[in-house]
Amino acid sequence: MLNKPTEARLRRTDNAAIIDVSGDVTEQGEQAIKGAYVEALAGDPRRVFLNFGDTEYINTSGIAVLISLVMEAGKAGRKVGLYGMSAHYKKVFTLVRLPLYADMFESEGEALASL
Amino acid sequence: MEAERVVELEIPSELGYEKMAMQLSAALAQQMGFEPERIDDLKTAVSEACLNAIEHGNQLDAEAHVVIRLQVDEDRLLVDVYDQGRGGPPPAEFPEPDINRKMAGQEETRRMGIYVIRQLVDEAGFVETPPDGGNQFRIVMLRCSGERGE
Repeated sequence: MLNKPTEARLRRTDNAAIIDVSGDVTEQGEQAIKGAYVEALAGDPRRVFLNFGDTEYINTSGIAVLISLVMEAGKAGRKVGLYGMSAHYKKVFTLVRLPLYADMFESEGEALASL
Repeated sequence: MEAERVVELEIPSELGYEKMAMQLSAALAQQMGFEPERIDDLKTAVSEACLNAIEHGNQLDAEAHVVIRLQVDEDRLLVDVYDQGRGGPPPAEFPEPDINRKMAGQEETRRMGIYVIRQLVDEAGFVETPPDGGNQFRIVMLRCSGERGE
């Protein structure tokens, strides 16, 4: 098995929840990412952000997981924020038009400043 | 004139092995002088082509192999990804994914790979193969991005 398992660790600021994603973002990471998201909502944050700063590999099945998460968030009236991904993956996210439904930020500072 | 070089890699149809093809294609592209941004594009394209072969072409049967053949020409890098066609022939069309339809639950959240590949490389598509000959997907990256033909 050459994939690096997805890890999703939750931390909180005053009014936001940040999920630090590490390892590979693939279909196999769905449980880790969605589990952390559900845990994040328990604190009723103003916004949930996903930080991909420690992620080197994202494939389209992983993007499908993100789309599914963004879709679930949207149904609850929430909009997820994304940051930390490389310029290449920002381009791929943009190709599939993910930014129409999830805000992308350059850094954690910019993400938190948006609140 | 630079001599043509061919490198082949055979991987089992198990998720994760596509990374070996990514690394190999990146090494060749770097040797050919591709810019880092284009190497990232190539890596994602090769990964998605291999995933397609593993998941759809070979139906995740680990005993069915995927072959990646990389050919370095004077002016381009060709990457051919072969599977055993256990999932049948590929669809005739690959429509652009529609995020609005996905969000509305009217379209699968997946099925973006071929579209993404085509946006990232100079040419990409299935090559016609004999019946029962499996599938062959070809990616073309030109050395000079100015020659990119879209």
